Amino acid sequence: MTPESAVVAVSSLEAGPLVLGEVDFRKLEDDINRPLESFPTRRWWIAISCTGLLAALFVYAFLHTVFTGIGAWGNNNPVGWAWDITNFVFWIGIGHAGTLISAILFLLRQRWRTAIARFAEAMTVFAVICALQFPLVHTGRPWLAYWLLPLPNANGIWVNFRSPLLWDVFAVSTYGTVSFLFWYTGLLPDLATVRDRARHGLRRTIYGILSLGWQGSNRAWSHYEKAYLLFAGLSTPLVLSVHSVVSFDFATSVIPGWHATIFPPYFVAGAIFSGFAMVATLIVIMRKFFRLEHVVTEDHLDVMNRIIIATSLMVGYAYATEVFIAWYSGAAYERYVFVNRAFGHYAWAYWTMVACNVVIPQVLWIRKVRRTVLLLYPVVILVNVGMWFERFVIVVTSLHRDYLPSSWDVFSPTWVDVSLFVGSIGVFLTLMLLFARFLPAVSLAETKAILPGSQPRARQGARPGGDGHG
Amino acid sequence: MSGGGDGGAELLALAPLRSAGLARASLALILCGAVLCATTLLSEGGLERFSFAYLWGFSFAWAIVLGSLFFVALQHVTRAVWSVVIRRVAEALAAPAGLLGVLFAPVLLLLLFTDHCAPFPWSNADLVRDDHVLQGKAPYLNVPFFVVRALFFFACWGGFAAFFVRQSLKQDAGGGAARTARMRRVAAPFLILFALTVTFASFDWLMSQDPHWYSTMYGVYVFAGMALAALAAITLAVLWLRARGLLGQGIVSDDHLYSLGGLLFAFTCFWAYIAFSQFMLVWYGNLPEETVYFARRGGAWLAVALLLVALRFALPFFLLLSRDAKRSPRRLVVTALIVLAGELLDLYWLIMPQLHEDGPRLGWQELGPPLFLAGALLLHVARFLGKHRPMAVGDPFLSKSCAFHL
Repeated sequence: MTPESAVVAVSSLEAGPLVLGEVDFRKLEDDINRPLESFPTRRWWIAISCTGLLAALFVYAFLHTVFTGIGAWGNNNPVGWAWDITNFVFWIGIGHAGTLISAILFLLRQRWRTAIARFAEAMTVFAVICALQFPLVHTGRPWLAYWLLPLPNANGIWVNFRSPLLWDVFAVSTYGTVSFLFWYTGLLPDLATVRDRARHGLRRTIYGILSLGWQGSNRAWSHYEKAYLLFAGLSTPLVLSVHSVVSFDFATSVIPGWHATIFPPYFVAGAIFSGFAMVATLIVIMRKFFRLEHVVTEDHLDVMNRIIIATSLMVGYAYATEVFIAWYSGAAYERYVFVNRAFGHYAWAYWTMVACNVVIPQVLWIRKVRRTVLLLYPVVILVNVGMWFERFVIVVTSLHRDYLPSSWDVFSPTWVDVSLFVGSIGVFLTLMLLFARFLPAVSLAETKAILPGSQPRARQGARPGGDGHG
Repeated sequence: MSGGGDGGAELLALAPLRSAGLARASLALILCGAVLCATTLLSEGGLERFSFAYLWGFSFAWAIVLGSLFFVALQHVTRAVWSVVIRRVAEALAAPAGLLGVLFAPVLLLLLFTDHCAPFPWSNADLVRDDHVLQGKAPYLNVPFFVVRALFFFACWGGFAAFFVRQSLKQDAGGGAARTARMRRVAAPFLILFALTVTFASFDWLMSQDPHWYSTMYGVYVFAGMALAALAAITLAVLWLRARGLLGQGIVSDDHLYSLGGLLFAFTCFWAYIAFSQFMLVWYGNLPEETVYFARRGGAWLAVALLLVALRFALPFFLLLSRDAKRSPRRLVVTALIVLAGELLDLYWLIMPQLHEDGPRLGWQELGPPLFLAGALLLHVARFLGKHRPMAVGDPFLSKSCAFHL
């Protein structure tokens, strides 16, 4: 053994404490509830004014589309799907981090998840809301959206059960519902805490109603824990199914560049990738302004960035496999699509995607980058950009060169396309800002449970099956 | 499971396997397999049947060894603590990675020294001459490049398996933390290499048997089966060693078994997800050049396909669904055996329809190579366990792993 290796201490291999500093239950409660119990700062007002303006732009563009028709967008004959579906897939993907954290990481016993779970779950709910706007407006008559549901009607006309677009209706609505219930169930004990701390009667009443009369009795906790486990079990297949079904929208067709068997897991990996990038993007700001750096620590950023790099590699694997198999297939159309993506009219979009999703995230191999906000921030922002471009590349490059060269065309967005997308970011951020103001952004009950002393079993010297209850 | 597992003394007392039984049994398998192989080769049309059966048996051995290597690397990269008490068992199953290269020699020899190797139609020059699709693929699907790739794969897997196993064994004598740090550093880049090599190996050894057909999911599909088979083998080995008292008293607890069972359950679902997605998208697209693969594996082979759904998904899923099932040794043994049978059947279903288009056949000609290869693998594992401790006693997280609690 070299002298140098001898100095490696076991402690350096272990993860640090999940909550930093001298924190007891009381202090943690104060820290997490502070943003709810103080008046908004000026910075918050400035932020929500900006995002609110963008949200208003969204509403305007939405109404403009409804009153004018889909012709207000840049969609044309071969490119019948463009930014609308790109944005839909983008937002659905963003939501995946929340479900992954609350379901899969819970089942995998990753205790660090507690600090970011609530925030990511809220993101999921809001991202699904944003995503739903795009198919809704694309129907042209949003008030008839219930036609998407298989409702009995006088003419005996049914939805097409063989269409993956209908599967999407089921998958996304299930996902949205379960995500919301999961999030809300988790909120109950914390809402009760906010109620109990309230000084004003009205505030107590509102949070009292929201907390559904939670009293924290043993029996309530026992039911709560069981419900949580069941939700986690039920949400786990949803993490995989939603984006798989979204990928079916493309992969069940026979359009080269869309019809690839790897699409389901590739879309899921991409969704988790973009979701974690968005969590990192926003939580870095949240922890700074709410002074929660001791709850969402550098270790948390480190682990999130590890997941980002792992999913980045999975996405890169899918890109590479697609290119290789396109060549290997020997099919002229398959080969053409990928040559066209890399060197055709949209080559800039393709290379932006490759650079942002595969090349640049590799800097996260460096520990210092993973743990330094200023260094990791550009990376996660670029991942967000790259993942939007991924969907754009898939949707538009495959459509704009179809089997008939005479119908080839290019797509350029109109101001309505751009406003809808930028506006949806405004809607999302507005909802996030309101969430951070009115609900505890970190799960208080769960974070209390990971403080030292709250898990008697974890104490030193505990033995398997022995005095586990002591 | 109660009590026990106390401190270092008992852990250091853990001794290697002292039993000639396993080695004798594997020698018997090798002998039996070799005789059957020789008889097959001497019979009429035997070379063709032998080559398919050999590929079948080899793929099974490959899946278990590489899947175990994946398991070891995964534990390092995720810094898992619970699995430290059973990691040595996975290392014992991953150790024969180098041996795999030797065992692949018959396939390479057939490719190099006969005019064509039956399972790989693209190696037949006469066939390629009349087939413009295969001519287009010739830059990739040709014998020299195939051999070079195979050698590269084995060098890679053999090298990294040797690294992980050797570091872990040396750790038994000391240098705990530094070696753990080194293994963790290597594990992440290795997993990238693992994904690429296993994907291309599955394209080369399995997908290229039907050289016109292609599926981007194929590598993931083979990997899912591989991980599942390895988990089943690790579970069986852990339970076998525990029952013989080699893993100490009560050190490998119900909660460790629960974790293994949980992984087995998760990968069962993962395999079903991947298999369904691949099949459904090909079926839905309904392009003749893609559906031909499943058409050949339906029809006369439909019964095998349906049995596959039962063995690989339905049975393990329901057997392991409940929490108690995942901690019950008996239930785990039954499920693991079903999963291993499922992997054998899956590979049979992938490989054999090229030979027997008119329906599944399983004669003694098919049994020689799998018996021989299973024997060789078992012998290697038995010798490994006979030489080394069955637990990574030098790992700095061993005591934490012993104390692991849900």
